[in-house]
Amino acid sequence: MVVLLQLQNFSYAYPGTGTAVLQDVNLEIEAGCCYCLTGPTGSGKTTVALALKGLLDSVDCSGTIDRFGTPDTREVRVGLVLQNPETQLLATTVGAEVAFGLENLCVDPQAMPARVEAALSLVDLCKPLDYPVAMLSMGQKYRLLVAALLVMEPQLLILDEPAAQLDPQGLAALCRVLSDLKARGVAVVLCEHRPGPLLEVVDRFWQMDGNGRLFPGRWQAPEAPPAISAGQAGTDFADAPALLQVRDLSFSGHGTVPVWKDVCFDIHRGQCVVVTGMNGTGKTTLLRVLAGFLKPGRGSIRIFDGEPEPRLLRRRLGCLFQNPQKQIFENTVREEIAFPLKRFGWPAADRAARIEETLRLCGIEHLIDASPHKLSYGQKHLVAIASVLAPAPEMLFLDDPFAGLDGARQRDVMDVLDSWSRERGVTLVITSHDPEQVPGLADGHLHIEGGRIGWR
Amino acid sequence: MAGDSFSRLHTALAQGHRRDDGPAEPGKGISLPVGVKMLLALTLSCVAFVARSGVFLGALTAANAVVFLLLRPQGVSWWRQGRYFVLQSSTIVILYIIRFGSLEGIWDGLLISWQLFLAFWPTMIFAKTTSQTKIVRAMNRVMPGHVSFVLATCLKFAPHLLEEFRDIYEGQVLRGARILPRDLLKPWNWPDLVHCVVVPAVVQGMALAGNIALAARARDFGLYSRRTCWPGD
Amino acid sequence: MMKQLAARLSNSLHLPLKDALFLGFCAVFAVLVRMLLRLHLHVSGHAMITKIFFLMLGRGSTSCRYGASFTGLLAGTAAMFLGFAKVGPFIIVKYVLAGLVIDLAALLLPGLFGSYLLCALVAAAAASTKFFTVYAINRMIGMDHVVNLQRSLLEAGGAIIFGVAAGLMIPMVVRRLRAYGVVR
Repeated sequence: MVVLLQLQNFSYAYPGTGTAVLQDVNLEIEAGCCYCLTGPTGSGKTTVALALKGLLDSVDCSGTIDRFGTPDTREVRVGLVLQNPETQLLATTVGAEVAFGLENLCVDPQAMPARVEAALSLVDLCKPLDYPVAMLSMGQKYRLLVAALLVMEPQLLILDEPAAQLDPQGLAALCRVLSDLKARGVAVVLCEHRPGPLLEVVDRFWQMDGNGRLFPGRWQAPEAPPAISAGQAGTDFADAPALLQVRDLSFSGHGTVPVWKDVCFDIHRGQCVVVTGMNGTGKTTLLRVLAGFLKPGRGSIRIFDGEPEPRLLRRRLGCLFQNPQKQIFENTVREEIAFPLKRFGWPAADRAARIEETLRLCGIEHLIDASPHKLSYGQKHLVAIASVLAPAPEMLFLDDPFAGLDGARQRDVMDVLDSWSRERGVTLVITSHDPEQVPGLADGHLHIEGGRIGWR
Repeated sequence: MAGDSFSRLHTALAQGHRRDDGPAEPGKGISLPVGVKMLLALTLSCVAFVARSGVFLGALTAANAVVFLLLRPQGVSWWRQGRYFVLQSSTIVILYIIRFGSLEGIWDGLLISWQLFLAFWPTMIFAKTTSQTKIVRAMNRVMPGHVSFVLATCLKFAPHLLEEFRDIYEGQVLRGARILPRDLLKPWNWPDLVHCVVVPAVVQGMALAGNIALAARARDFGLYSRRTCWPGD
Repeated sequence: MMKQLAARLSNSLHLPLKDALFLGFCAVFAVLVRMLLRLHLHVSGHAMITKIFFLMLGRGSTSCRYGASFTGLLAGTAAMFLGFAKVGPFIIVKYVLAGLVIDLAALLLPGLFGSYLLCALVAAAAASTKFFTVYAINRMIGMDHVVNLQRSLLEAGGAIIFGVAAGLMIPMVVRRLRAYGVVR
């Protein structure tokens, strides 16, 4: 097999950090092979991908990257699709998006349409070139990005966490594309901590050990907690007071088609309800309407026996929207947890005790004086959760709190929420985009589909 | 409420770049090439500065009216434009009355106000009758490729950043930050807005800029000093 | 030819794409937040608070010596193309002039973005460019000299007050960003 790329004793540390993310990494990539790089969240998989693409600053690197491209250039054309499709879609139409790379390579504009059409057919995305990107589903957007790389005729294609972006049908389509690419001699590297659905195309595994070292073999993620259906928990909430009552609720936003309509449900004290639905079905919108930040088109909401009004809800309702780390703003974890307590008038002596108790229950008491901006992704997540739990809200809205976390971190977050829910009677409303991953602590399951919300 | 304002602005921005270049829903006006429209807008705008007499202004007004009828822009708020004209005129007319006396001052003041109004009107019509994608393509012709890419990309991702800003704001409200509109009437609450919302929003902006830059470089943006341009649909 | 000249100038700035995009966001939001203030608060004439804030933020958060001017160029262009420019293409001059003042001040005063007093003074200076731009535009349309002077002073006075308010927010923001480690 022809070797395309080799990393030898490659190490890298991000500027300003003390520890190396990659340490003495050795790997070799052959044409036509599919490799899967596994490892826990934060272990350096994306950094390896960036190194292979040549996007890391050479000043902070040591070791060598050898490229064995064409005899005249020695350059290897590498295509890289990063994790979040939304921040990689740089144009407004399908044709312009795929052609972006060709523009950067100064390809003649006359030659672009044919190459764009060919790339789109490779990923089986049959849309007109003027089709708006915003109207594609998440799976289609991901395939569009793959097409946008394939149009540049890469010899190595790197995909970072593709399973997180695609539903089962999308993954099946991706498998077909990858098999086809391998047959054409293109090497593929998948950075994935849950490679399950893509196993059939993988030829070799590597694993990151969490200390920056790479080994052959596959890292196995701890199993996510098993799903249980509504009512299986054995707790009957019918006698508990209803904290949230929704009747005939509809919301259309600024369009004419309702996002959802005729929604009716009750949520009782101490209950944990998961709201599932695909991306774009209105889960976040539902939380914002229930919290009073958006007015519904029709229907009524009673929360804590009153109208949803943020000014009145803020002591009793906590809310953590997607990517909760973005709410962190204080200089230490202690100050971050203290902020809501100060605003809600907690006395200083009570605040100190409450902060320590909250951090202990979240398992991060050792980080009390650390800067929250220098913590890992999972630790920041827990700090953000602790900061909304500290004032002891009666109800908590959590918008996709497990997104971006590997199995171990998901378990940590779930344990924290479970203990607060069971021991302190906090009512939880959690949204998730994956109906197959209803957390083990759910007492009820609402599902959004086709503009309707109903119990499952 | 604040949430509705974010939603209106977000929707307006998002719709701006949901329009595509190809067979969009048929507009009511005639379709002119973007370059022609841009030149027309700039010319009419600049001519307003030299239209000193009533006759010249009348002719220019007629020219603008013809362009308006031909292009038929959607979403022009006559209330907002009228209110702006009245507010601007009143200041100028009052100053002219003080300077020259009543009748002469009123007429001169109104002429000057009308001139200023006609200076901005054509560029507003241009923006209302041209999709953002076409605006970007027009910018590509007069600005360096990298600079027009930066502006176009930032316009495209502005709704995304606005959503982040909204999420931060709403999350912080429920954490007790004193940043609701009635809270912000008191200046001693303004530091909460800066610390809890503005600073995290700036951090998110930097992070987004970094992610976009990485995505662009992953597709070899910046490999060469010049870029070609997708011919469109 | 103009495009090639501009390209050469742009290349000489050596601005990393990440910084250029962040300045672009500052520019776009300098225009859009102004629109939001009008939409919801119906507060017109407070354009200077957003203009000065985002121009100074652009310069204070990046290492680009022309950060404010570049932000101003982009903001003026965005305002013109989005139809928010009351004075047509001259909106670009208004933004760039204020940006140049900020860039010059940042060059001469190394501790600028850590000091409330210096930020307030620089913000006032940048906001006062409104006098010159308004005067020049009114002169071009033939406004009477005395009326022009009075109107320009009125507008500049209000602009300076709001500009100073914006300038006073900058040290709070920049200090926090430095504490987080996202800005050096």
